[in-house]
Order: sequence, then structure tokens, then C-alpha cells
Amino acid sequence: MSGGRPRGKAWLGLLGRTLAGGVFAYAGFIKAAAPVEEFAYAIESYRILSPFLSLAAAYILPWAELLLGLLLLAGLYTKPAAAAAGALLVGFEGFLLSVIIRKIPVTSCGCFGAGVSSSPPTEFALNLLTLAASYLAWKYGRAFAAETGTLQSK
Amino acid sequence: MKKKKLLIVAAAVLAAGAAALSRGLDIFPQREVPPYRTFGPEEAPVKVAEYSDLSCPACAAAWTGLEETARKYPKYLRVEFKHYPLASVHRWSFDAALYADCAGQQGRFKEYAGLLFTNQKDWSRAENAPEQFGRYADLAGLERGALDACLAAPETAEAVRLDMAEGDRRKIGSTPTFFVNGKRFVGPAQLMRQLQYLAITVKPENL
Repeated sequence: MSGGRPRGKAWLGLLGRTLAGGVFAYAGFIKAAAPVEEFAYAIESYRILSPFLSLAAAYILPWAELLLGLLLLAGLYTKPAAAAAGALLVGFEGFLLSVIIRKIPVTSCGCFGAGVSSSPPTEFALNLLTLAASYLAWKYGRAFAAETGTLQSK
Repeated sequence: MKKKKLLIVAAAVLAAGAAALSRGLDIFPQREVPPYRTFGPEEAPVKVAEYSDLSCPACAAAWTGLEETARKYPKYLRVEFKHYPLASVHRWSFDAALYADCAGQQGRFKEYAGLLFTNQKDWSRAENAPEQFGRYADLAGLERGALDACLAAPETAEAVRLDMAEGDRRKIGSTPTFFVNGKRFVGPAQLMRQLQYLAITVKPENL
């Protein structure tokens, strides 16, 4: 632990990394542990992707989320992981906004598996918080990170 | 630094392994379904086990889809209906399952479940759905004394709970979930696509 006392921004970075990483790791693990067809069903209910693409996304997304979550929590490849998490969140917001505008009855967004059912507007708002956390992780997240081994943010 | 990276990789591999194991395990024996909840010829090439909630709109759509397929291809399908009422979301779904099973004991499961699915919007959010269930019982021609006795019998609820426990073991998270010749499908769209696909591959004499 070199580099002296951590500054406020470093703590913010840690907070963002923990929040975003925690959400991604949890969401990824819950879905990866569940049958893939269930998540595919949730994706199909948005009526954006074809059945084939829904299934493909259901196979890939949980593992991508889990990986990004673990990288953020550990502080490895922090910047690219935070950027990828942010990009995914923007994509998710697009999907959610689309069903809100089209008034498609999506009872469960599928974000945290079938066990948790939150409505698209609720999930849209929660995603904004995670997006803000990802930004903090991207901007200041290298403090306390395994990749730097330091308390400093740079 | 290298150690930390190794730890992360090990954690990821462990998580992946645990996930793969937990979703791949389906080794438990399945409960036998009562004859009144089994439809179609025993030798049918396509066997469907359906975990359904009588209050869920997607389950109603799947019910219609299965009925149409069975009408179109009488020798093609064998369906086992299993109860998986999501009582925490759908207030009357457990009671509906009891009524349907009791109708089944009088040989009218299909008719009664059909009535429940068709009129789902009327009773699923009603204040007193059992009143409506009684009316459907009359429509289905059920004998009320036997129906009431069946509803009061603890074995009736036990049978539904055992179906639910089996569903939990098979990781049912959404209804309707189907196992078509052992392979999982969730929702009416996935089911109908698979049935259409299999109908192409099955010999015409088995349709």
C-alpha cells in the first residue's frame, strides 16, 4: 500500500466499483445458474430480438455480466471493464425504454432472473444508478484495485 | 499481482462450474401424473410435461396452442399437466389448481381447466374467486357434494404441493415451462416453435 492516504475521489471510485461490480456479478450469477431458456423467454418478451438472437444473448449475457462484475470487484482491467459495463447498461436502458414507450406488458424484466420481478420503469431507474456507479468506477476506480496495488487513484 | 489474477480466474472458474452444475442437474425421478391430467396417446412421439399456473396469461395461451396442435395432429402429442401455481403473484392460483384437480376426479379436468383459462381475467383478480369457481363447476356439470369433499380433503392440496416441490427441484422459475421429450422450453412461443419443428421431422403416420 504505497502512495499515502487515499483521497475522496479514490473512495468514490471504490464505491462505484463495488456497487457496479456487485450488481453485475450478482445479476450474472443468478442468471447463469438458472436455465438459459428462462432468460431467453424474458428477452423474447421485449419483442426486439428474434428467437435465435434471444437465445444467443441468454447464453452469453450472464457470463459477460459475471466476468465484468468480478473484474470490477477485484479491480482488474478496471477502465475497460467499467466502460463495457456502462455500454451494456446503455443497451439495457434502450430495451427498457422501448417497452415503456410501446407499452408492452413485460412483467419481469429478466434482469435478476425469474425470481425477481421488477417493472421496466423501476428497473430503468435502478440502471441509471448502476450507470452512475460504473462512471465512478471508470473515472476513479483504480484505487484499492488489484491491478495497481495502491491506495491512489492513479 | 500474479497471485491475485490467479485468484480471480479461480473464482470465475468455480462460479462457472457451480452454475453449470446447478442448471444441468435434473436427475430426480418425476412424480406420476394422475390420468385425468394426461392427454393424448401413450405411444405419441412427442411427450410434453407442462408446469402451469391456471392464473397466468401465458399458460392460457400455451393451453390453447396445445389443444390446437392436438386437434391438428391427434397421434402426435402426449401432454402431462403439472401444477405450478405462483401463489405469491397470483392470489387464487393455488385454489384454482385444487378446483381443477377435484373436477379431474369427476373426469372433467380438461373442461374445467379450459373454463378457468378462458375466463381467467374474470376470476384471477376477483375478490372472491371461489364463488366463480363454483359457477364454473356447475357449467362443467360437476357434482357439488363430491367437489366440496374433494376440496376439503388434505390429499388434494398435498398433490398440488408435491407438483410444486417437483417443479422447484427442476428449477422452474417461470410459467409455463415445458419439457418436450426432456428438453426445457419456457413460454408458449418457445413451445410452439419446437412443436412445429418436431412436426416436420416426425413421420406422417405419427401425426
